Amino acid sequence: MKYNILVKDKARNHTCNENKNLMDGLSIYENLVPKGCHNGACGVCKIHISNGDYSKLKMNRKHISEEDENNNIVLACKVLPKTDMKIEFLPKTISNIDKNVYILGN
Amino acid sequence: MSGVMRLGHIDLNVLDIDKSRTYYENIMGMNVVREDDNGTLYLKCWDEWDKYSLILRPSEEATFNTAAYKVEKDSDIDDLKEKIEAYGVSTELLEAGVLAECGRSLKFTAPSGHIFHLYAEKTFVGKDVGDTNPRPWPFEGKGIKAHWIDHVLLMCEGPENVMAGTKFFQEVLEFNLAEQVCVGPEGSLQAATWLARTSTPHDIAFVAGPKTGMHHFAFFLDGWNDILRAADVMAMHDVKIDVTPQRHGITRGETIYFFDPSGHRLETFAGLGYLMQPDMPTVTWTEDELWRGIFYHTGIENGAFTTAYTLSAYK
Ligand code: FES
Repeated sequence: MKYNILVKDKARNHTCNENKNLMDGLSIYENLVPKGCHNGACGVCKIHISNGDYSKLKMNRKHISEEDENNNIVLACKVLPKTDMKIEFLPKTISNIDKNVYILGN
Repeated sequence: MSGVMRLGHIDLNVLDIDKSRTYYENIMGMNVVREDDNGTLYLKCWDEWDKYSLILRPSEEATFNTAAYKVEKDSDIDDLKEKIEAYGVSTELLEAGVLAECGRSLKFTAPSGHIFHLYAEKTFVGKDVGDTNPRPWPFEGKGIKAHWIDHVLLMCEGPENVMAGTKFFQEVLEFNLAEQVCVGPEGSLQAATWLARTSTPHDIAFVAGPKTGMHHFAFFLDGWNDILRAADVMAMHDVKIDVTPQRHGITRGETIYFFDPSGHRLETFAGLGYLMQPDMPTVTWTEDELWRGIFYHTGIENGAFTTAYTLSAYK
């Protein structure tokens, strides 16, 4: 079964199969999801889910607190859709210290 | 003093220990050699002779704990303790058995920001092919059949910590600087370094990033054909590949980057690269050719290489 996933800001609707996590399902579309590990370690795929039912796998507590999880803030790579969904990617907040740090390739 | 020989093991936290077990056994071809009551798994590659090279701990986090290096003699532990403390880094001497299956060990936080262990003894098991008239590879075995864990690349908070970690590994642990990426005014900052104690281009590497953590650790394969076969095995198992088969400019290795079930980045690194020797001149990559150094064919950034990596557990 396939469901429509609306990614806010990108304003693009794309389908994701119920047996794929949102990162695996949506990464085949160009420039829709951030590049990440697809399995929970890196935290780049943090989303807020504003609409839709889903099942989820264990979240990495280094990136998602219990409180986040209760507020539908989760890792897209640990979420599988059960209905059509509306999601928004939450860009990583970069602290001032981080900004001063040279990041390879920036 | 003889000092550090090689990378001994990597210690990681994982989200789903059963998935991780299946993955490292069926895809990487490792064997689980020990299991603790709390679910912690110890794994070994077929071409390694010590008991284990990877520790996976069931956890609420997918994070990096420590890397351990094996030293040649037990007395090296005392010599290095003195040397490390004289350098201004405090150490902790752990009794035999605190590190599972190991003799006493020395624990410290290096100036790179990472926790390391040094140990001289670990339970001996032997290679899967034995040491008398051995076959070149085990007929049994699953998946990629990686030979051994080859090196680890750690992320440091900024070039300052890359440089501090590099200096420590050179001056105290007597690693040799094989390659470096130099950036900033007149290339005065090391943004990344590759250091060796063995005769291969790197046993450890440091790269500057926003947070302390582990970028990847690598499994050794013989050559390019093994890389192609490994990528096939990964695709057959739906493994998330970060960077498809490529050559590195830095180290000259043949590579694939991919992720484990907790999102830890792994590499299969093939070929010797080159013969590393203490008197080999350090290779330098400049800021403008940095991506040529990393991905030699395209010369451009690829995959989630700079954005996605595992954070350290203790930060
Ligand atoms: S993509 Fe890395 S945590 Fe989801």
